[in-house]
Amino acid sequence: MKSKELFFVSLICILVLSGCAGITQGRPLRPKYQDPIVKSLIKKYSAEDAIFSNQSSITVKQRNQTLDDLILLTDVNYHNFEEEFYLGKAFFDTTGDLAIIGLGAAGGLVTHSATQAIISAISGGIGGARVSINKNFLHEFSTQALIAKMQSSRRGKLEIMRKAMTLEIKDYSLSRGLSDIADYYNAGTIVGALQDIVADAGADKKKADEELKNVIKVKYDQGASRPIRDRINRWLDSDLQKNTPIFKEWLRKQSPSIKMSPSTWVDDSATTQLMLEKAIKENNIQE
Amino acid sequence: MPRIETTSNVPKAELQKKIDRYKADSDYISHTATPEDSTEQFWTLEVTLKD
Repeated sequence: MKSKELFFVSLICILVLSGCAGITQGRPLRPKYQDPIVKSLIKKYSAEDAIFSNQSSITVKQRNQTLDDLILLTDVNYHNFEEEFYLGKAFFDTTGDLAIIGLGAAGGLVTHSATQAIISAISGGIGGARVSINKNFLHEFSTQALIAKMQSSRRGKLEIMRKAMTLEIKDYSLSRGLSDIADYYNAGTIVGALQDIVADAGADKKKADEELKNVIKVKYDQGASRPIRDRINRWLDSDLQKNTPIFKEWLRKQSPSIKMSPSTWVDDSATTQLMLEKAIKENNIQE
Repeated sequence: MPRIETTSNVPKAELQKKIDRYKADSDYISHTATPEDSTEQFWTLEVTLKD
């Protein structure tokens, strides 16, 4: 490889590897009191008798103190995870993009075909690895979407717990609270977020399906059964205020019940001749 | 939630009579009629009813 080509490749590597190095933490420094508190709580709850063995004698104050401590530990753990998750993936995406752009540009500058092939392979490898990470581990959801879901799920769980913590022990035991802490922790995990996203999608589909059920689309029939339809319509028109409710009631009494308005049902091309004849007979509709 | 019943291909001559039949239904709320093409010979009638 010529010195000019080496220079460009080295320059790109330096740019890629040093890219965004100045933005590493993305948060203010942690308060100094946080670490000692966390350490002391971890020590406290790591002891064998940390959780009251006899829960029948526990008071509301003791239960809430325990749950508050565990909520704090869960929060600190989650915030550390969120920060690493966001910065870690953001850094990977940024360097990946820079590498692809940079290596692609270098490919144009370098004339040696073997070097071009190597650069192209590296470039493809970086892009491929990024796609693979997103697809296999994050299921192609964006980091922001996953974090937003984790935050909203955690908020929901915490709200439930806070309300429950106002209850008496008989209504909200410490065991129940500990179970809720586990749910609260799970809500702040990628798996939990993905599960919630899938559940939300299912709920949205169900809602859409229910809404669709309330829309009936029919086509006005102009076929051979038109005379019999017109006969029913003429009967309806002869006294709309009297005959419409009578016919509507007859439709509702069918098995399965017909929920359409009489006018829709009579003109619907899907309404069979057999049913129309039944309507005429049972409602005693004269010519 | 209201129910919507849409009938397409309604002949112009039948449109008003059909609207009147819907209006006699105690569930009737409102309707809109739209011509299916520029000749206005066939219409799509969309009726909103109480569910």
